[in-house]
Amino acid sequence: MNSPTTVTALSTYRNQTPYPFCPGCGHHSILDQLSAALNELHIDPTKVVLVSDIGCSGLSDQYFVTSAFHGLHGRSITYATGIKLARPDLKVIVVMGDGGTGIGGAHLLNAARRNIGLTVLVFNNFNFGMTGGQHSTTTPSGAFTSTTPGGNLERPLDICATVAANGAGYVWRGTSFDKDLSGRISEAVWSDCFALLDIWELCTAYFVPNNQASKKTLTTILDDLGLKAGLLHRANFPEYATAYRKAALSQSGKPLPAPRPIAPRFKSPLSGTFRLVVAGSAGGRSSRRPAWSERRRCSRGCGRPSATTIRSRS
Amino acid sequence: MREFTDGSSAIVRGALDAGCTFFAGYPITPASPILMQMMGELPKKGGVAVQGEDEIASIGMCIGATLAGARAMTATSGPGLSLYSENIGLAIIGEVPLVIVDVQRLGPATGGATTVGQGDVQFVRWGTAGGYPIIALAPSSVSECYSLTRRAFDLAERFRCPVFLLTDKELNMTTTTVEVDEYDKPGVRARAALPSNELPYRYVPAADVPPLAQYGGPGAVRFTGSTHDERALITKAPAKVAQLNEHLRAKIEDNAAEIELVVKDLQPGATTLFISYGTTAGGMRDAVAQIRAAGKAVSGLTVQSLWPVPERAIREALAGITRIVVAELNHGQYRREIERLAQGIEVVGLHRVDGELIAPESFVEAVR
Repeated sequence: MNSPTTVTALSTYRNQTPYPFCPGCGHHSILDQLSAALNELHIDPTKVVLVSDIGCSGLSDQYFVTSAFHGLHGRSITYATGIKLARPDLKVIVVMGDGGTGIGGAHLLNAARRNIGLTVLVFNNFNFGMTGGQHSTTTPSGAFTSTTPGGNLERPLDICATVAANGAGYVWRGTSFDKDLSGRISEAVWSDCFALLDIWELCTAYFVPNNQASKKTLTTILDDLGLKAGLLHRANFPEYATAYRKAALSQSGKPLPAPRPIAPRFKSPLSGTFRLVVAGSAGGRSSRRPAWSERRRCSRGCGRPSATTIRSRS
Repeated sequence: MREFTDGSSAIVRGALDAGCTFFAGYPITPASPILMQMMGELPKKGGVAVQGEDEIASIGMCIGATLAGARAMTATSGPGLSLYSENIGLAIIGEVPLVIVDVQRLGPATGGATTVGQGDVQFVRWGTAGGYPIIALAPSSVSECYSLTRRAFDLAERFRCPVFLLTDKELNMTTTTVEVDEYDKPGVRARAALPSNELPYRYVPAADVPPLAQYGGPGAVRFTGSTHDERALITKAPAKVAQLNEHLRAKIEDNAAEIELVVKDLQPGATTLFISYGTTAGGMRDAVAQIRAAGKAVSGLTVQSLWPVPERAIREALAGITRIVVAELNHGQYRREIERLAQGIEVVGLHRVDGELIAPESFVEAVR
């Protein structure tokens, strides 16, 4: 599964359309490096699915010649999981912003825990750029955004530590300025495990002017939080989609459910309408299994709670 | 040949026979038996079944898997359906074939978690932003759970849209004796391949539905939940957006005759017509038999295709009728659809919202 194909490798995996991002936005550099990474892998573009989240980074897939899925905010990892489970041979790359790690936090955590073979690129610019610079899960404490006018009171999420502690196979942190970013992306895609790259970058529309931020600020934030950059974690758990297929093989070919015939063994002695009262349960029904008489009654589509009418079969 | 089984098992068997290869769901009473059985059965035929971390993930996985070639189903109940809402919209705009089983229980919220209800009838119709049509089928017996599951898979492929199978707690969890030989087996079409010279979407003629483009084939495939052109590139150009949205409406509403499914039990001379669906139709059938045994005339109509409303069949059943009794386990959600078709005929609601079923005697009493 890991052997790359060379037949249809391209020099660029970008199409001709220019990016729509603001001047100075880190997205330009990250996407150029993603294209370079795919080129390094000599990968067939039809075997790559770029799954984008919502936000400025969610526009990314439109500028690539690979297959693409652009769905709902925070749910990119769930679509990617479905794609990988149905077609484990495809390379599935998720592009999401820091916003997606909040609304889609449960998916991030559980995809890491499964170690499903996705490469997640977090375009982390510490705020919601598309909607007006609101604070996100990764906004540094004290930082100014349009929804933290007095400075952010929340602590930022350490995305890398979270997924590393919960089963991810490959975890890296860096910036859009890093020269080795394309190499790290190709390494992550090649690894075929749950790989996450937390890529810090500048939102020149909001975070930069609101916080007088610059390239140097990224290092300052890192130091203030006591975080590290670079390759932070590697693990060798089985990849989920492949492991699932392997486990399913032991079930393969076993019979599917078929009707199990029953035959009448007794003849009812009843000849008319009878009433049976089941007493002694204080009026309550068992929460697990209704009494047999009620089960029969329910199936006939009627129901009174305290007494049961049974009609003999004609 | 008879068997002793329940609606959940019939749905699972129907899905497997229909070619379902992917299932994702999250535990919730009364839909959990479907999840558990699919987890056990799908691997046997090379399919995949997953328990998602929540309902949002479960339906999301189904949508992703479908684009990668799977035929997918998910199952939940009211609270989970609430969480499906946004992704139902995604399946509509992205034109994703998907079967969604809603095993109704008494709402709202956690409600009567283990008691029966039919309160999701309008919810499945209007359950996501935008108000676009969906298809919903409602089996009224265990054997219909099997046949309408097959039908749901076929309609999902035919119209590339989410198709709801609307059942309820009693239908799914009550074990009953079924005549196996009476299982109807409607055909389920195979997924057609998209010709290489065709775009993944087509809006003209509006009611036409092109084949689904899938990942991993000879060409790259784009998919988006934003308003898009035929190449799946995002657009806000009003003319193109209008074409897309008209197509989403027309492909279902203009083909309603193809979807229409009812069971008519009409008696000449009858002036009262019972209309019901799902489990409630069981009580109706019993009552119809009782009333006729007493020498009176009465008609019954079981609606199997709740959405789009089978207007033609309903109108046909109204000939000679002066009183319509609509029975359902809610405050009259489907009655409003009947009222707009009834045009001068008296429409009466027969309701129950206490977690119990409507007894045949209540139907009998509703006949004047």
